[in-house]
Amino acid sequence: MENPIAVLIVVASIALTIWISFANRRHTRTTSAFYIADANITWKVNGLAGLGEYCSAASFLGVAGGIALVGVDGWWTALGFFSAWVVVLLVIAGPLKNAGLFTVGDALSARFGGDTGNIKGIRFVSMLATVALCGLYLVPQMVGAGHLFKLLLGMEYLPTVLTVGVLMAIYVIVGGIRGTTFNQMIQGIMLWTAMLALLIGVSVVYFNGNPFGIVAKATEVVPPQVLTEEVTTTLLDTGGSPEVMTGQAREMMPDAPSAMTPGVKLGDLQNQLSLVLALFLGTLGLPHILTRFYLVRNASEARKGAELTIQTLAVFYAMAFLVGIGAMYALYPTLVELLSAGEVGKATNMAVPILGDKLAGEVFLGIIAAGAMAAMLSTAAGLLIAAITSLGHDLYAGILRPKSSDKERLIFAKTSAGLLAVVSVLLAIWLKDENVAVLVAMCFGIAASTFAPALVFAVWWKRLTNHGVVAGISVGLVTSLVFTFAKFFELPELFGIPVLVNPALYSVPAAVLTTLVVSLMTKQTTEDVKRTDEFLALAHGS
Amino acid sequence: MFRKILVAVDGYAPSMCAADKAVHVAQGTGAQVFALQVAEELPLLPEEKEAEEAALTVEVHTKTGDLEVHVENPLDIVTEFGRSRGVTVTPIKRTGLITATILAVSEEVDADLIVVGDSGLRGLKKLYFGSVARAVSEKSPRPVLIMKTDPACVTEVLDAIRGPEVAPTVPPVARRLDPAAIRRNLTIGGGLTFAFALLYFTAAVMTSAPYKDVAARMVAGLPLAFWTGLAVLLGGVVASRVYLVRSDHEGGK
Repeated sequence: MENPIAVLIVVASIALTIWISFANRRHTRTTSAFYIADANITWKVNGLAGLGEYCSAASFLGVAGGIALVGVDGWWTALGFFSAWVVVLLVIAGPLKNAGLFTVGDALSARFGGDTGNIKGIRFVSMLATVALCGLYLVPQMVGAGHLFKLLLGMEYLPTVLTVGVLMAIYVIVGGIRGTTFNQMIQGIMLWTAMLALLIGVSVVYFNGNPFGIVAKATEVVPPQVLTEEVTTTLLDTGGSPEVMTGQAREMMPDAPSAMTPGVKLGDLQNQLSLVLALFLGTLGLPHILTRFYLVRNASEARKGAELTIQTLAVFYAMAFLVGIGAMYALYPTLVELLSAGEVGKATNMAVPILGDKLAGEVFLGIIAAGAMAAMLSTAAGLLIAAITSLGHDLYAGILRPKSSDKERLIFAKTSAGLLAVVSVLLAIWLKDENVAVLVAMCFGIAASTFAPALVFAVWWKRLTNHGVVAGISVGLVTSLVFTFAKFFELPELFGIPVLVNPALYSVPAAVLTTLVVSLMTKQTTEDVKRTDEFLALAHGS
Repeated sequence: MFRKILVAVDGYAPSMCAADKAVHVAQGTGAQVFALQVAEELPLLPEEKEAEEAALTVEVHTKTGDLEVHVENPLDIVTEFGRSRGVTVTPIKRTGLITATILAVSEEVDADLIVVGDSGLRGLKKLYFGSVARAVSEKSPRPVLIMKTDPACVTEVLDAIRGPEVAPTVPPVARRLDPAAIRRNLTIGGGLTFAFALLYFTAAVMTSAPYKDVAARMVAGLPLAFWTGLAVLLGGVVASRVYLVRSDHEGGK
């Protein structure tokens, strides 16, 4: 084992998280004091749990890592992740919570007829979309965990990802459901604090304690991915401190862009639009994020929780930017070396933990790794729970066996979620060289093409029909999955259409148009019209 | 003997035995019974709630088979059971922390006996949920009686309400759709979304290859792209603040 102390810290932090969530639940039942019964507690817990759930491997490792390699352009994924949350709050959080339903499938079936209406189709397609999304979204978490433990333990990727993936699934499925919300909250706080510690650390060690010095420095440094082969060779030959190396790189490439130059590594208009469209609309359709709104009493509480999440996320992604640029400078020699050795995946995904190691040794590496592990575990937990809820409610109780008991439903759902986790581990083995942020962005694309249009129309458009929903989700799901896998198989084009970094540019319009056209072509039954009126009245609080 | 007895009920089997004992003691002493149900208000996902309910449900072994007890309306059942035995039961429903509320209500009604059921949880479940009975007996200065679960008392209490005693469901009042409400919400949410989307997509398109010269223009010593990025973060925070204030304002009307 290469980093025993760091590994110990990771294991201890996971154990601590589990213990705190256990102790907390016991505490809320047996405490004699009223101090935690503050009326504000629910939305605060919920807001911070939202942060923990939302920040996955992509936000914690991918964003800062991406910025460390290319500079300010790498910030765009973070800005997209952030904006998506704002859209959720503005567009659907209030109405959905007013309607007060469990899953996306439930929300849709409330509009299209509870037990009597024709909702099996909707339940079925939304279950399929939930499972596809959760399964694919688990993959980057597994990839991130695999790389992280490979770095910590010095083992091969394959055994690492197998072990870590299976352990993660067991943690969630066997024990994680209990106290998940408290876990998410603790993990949210951990992530935020770890990012802050990195920012303080890098400012103190390299920039005389002035975080704005990082930005000033960034206007001079040539991003590692921009360096020409010749310059890279010279830099590696002479070596030296970050100060010396960045100075020499600038001297050799006086006209090269700096870390603050925009548009260096971003693609053409099509690719950029597809990416930012997916990010903007994606969260609207992420089942594991949406369920969080069902935790609080009313729409006002849901909004307050969401706002707390937004504010903490804004600061988090701003810190990630500074940490990323700081890492570019502080790790310049390491990053240049990794890139020249062809280890792009390690450079971009592991820059954050390596920075921790560089700043304060193995202990700090351990803390950062614990933070990253928290990000991946909490996201995996949120995803598997969303899958479990959907499999239990939509598939088992909704379609297969409506008269089953809670226990039977839970057993079925947990078993299926276990299978889903296994599939994700297998995909993580196949996709190990993919960038985790790219993988997550693809899931955003799928979500943006399935649940996002369906939900937005359901909440705002009276004329929507159940055929429109089923057709829209189906077309969106198929289109986005086809183009996602086309990208995985590295096809340059499909049916004569270029394959972009993200499926959204094709699949979102396809889903929206299908929903619109099919809804206008079909008619709601009188029963459905009545239900629609009631649902909309409820959702909009009239 | 006893004048005021407080019994905590939660719909699970152990608390039925506590209620059974409270009513029997009251029969003998002429005491008044207060039945307290505490609703916990915790931010839990539906799936978490289901898992907790499953964990808390205690199986009661009877001659006729195993009985899983989890009733939705324990206060109605206990009140009805008291009536059938000639004891007045005052139902109290509160929201809060379980043990803390039991202690607070015992002070309020000045109970001289608190009866609680022993959940009988073992192992991990006990570690996780803790024991309310133990917490109450440790923390209350008043006498506490902890009842063990016994199939006989559970069936005795539940038998009191056999028959069509379940509260009749009142058909919900149909809500009328008010198009003005949708329009009003659309103006707030839609307007802010549009403004935010404009900021976001302008900033995003600007950083794509064809327009990168615009993004690279220096403003106050740093490229425009950096400032638009910051503007997106700040704009999101401001938009959500405005939305929150406006919808709370609308909601208050």
